[in-house]
Amino acid sequence: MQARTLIVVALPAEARALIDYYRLRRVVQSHAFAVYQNNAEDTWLAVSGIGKVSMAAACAHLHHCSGANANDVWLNIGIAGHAEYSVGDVLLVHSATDANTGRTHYPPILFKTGVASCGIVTVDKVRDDYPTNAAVDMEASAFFTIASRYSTAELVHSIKVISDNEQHPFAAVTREKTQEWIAQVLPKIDELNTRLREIAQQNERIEFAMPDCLSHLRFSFSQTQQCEALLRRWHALSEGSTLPAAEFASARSAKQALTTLQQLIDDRAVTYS
Amino acid sequence: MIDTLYIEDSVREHPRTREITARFKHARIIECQRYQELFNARAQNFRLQKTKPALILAEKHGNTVLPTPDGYGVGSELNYYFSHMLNCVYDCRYCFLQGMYQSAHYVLFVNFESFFEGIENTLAHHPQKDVWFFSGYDCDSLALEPVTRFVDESLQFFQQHPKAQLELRTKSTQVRCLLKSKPLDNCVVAFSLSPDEIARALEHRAPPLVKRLDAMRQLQRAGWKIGLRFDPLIYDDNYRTLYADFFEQVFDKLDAGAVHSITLGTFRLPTKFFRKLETLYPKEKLLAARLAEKDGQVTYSGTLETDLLSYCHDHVSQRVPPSKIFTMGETDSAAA
Repeated sequence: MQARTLIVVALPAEARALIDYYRLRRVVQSHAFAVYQNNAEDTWLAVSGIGKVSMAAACAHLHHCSGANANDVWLNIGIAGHAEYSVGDVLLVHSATDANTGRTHYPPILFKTGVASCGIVTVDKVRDDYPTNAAVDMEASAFFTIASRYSTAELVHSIKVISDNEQHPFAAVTREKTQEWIAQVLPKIDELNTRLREIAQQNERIEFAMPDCLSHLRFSFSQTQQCEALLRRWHALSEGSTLPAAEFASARSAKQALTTLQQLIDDRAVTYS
Repeated sequence: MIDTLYIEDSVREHPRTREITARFKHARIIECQRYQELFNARAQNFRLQKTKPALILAEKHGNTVLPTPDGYGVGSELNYYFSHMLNCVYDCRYCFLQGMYQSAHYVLFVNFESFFEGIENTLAHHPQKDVWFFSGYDCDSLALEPVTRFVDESLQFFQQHPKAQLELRTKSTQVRCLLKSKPLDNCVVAFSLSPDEIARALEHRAPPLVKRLDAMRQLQRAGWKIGLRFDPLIYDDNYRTLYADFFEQVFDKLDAGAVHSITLGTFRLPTKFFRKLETLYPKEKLLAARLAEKDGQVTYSGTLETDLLSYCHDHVSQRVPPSKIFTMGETDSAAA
């Protein structure tokens, strides 16, 4: 199954350019948070509102709405402050620390990127001072905490555009400026998204489906699990060939079918030459 | 090769950290408090990370030297292991590290001096006795040597401690550090080997068999003691021919009489690790056939395990005295 992309932003102004770029439309059934999706339903976006609690809730909501699976790409995109970087600079988050708990997430970076990376500290209230050698925002740590429960950490990332620094205070940040900054970095966001989807493809997963030739039999829960394990082994050994349905035609019970399946596996050649 | 370095706060100023980071001028440097924060974090995918592992420079706390599991060794009574690194540059499909660790990042403990201190303390507990120290349990002893220089420093240490016997376990052909040094009587360079067909299928990124044999021959000619580690032995329907040809190839290339020791062991994994590997590599043939669970381990079913082991044992016995051949048990696999 092709990986999908789930984007969570805090502000409508951060969402605007992304909605246009990915041609997203509003999901009308979603009331708790504004949720958008594209026609192919492979790119989703939720607007969380400000703060960690809102971000955590929006991630959970988006997971529910989209039916996200464990191999989907999750992106947090938004603005952040940094003492030294210039306004408009784009940064990939390489560590996200919750200022309250001190807990840090380290998203594994498995791709080359032309984007600089930095740590980020997530705070509860807007502050005038900036942490040393790190950006500051109000959502990133919560995003990592929740999104990495839904997908593998390698596919969960955050990109921040610098909105304020020691020369340009946060108070001067406007909705228009925010939209403009995000719009300017869309190609970089899209490149990262593409790269992450490629990585997701490398994560081989086999979705279990009961083959037609076994569907006439009643399997208990544990027999279904056994069947799943045996089918995985069959596929690994048969290198793509389909299960010989005729072998199961005479099976009168799930137990009989499992024995037949085991026998088919035992009969397969095991050779590395 | 390595684009990202994580550095623990406590070793930021360590001379080895500075030396190593200087070699990765273009790498992204990320500071962390303790390596476990990222190495042990849940929801990581070992297989994906293996495509681009980062290097973590950390400090080893607590016990640096530990007793080996029962049955691990080459005939000696006192056997210990130490791990200056966690994880390996190779990607062998049978390796237990994939099941044991959440992360595929390499962890290098830069406080080598703590390992040497641990070895000295262990020696002090066994005065006048030969004590074996196995490296390469949680990593390959030589593969990252150009970065770590651990072996270089270890050789100097072991030269001064003749009662300490060192095994370097490897699949690597990075033997320059050994060739430029005088061979140590108390050091065995043990190579893990498999038939070429199996190595190609399962030992991803490891040097081909012929290259390993070349490196071994060079070392042997230079006077280094060589160990042969036929572990894990992998079942193939054609294993008799495959392993017979393989042993022929190995002993054609090496001086069998000068081989220090041979160990043999079939493919085996703790059940928990095996289950994790099945999830990571659902299409892997190795994990799909002729296996059974027994006493918390997954190994070859029925008599296959003993058939494979005794066949190979018989073969190597024709070349090397049985006193130099050791069979590995159920709880004692090593990474390299």
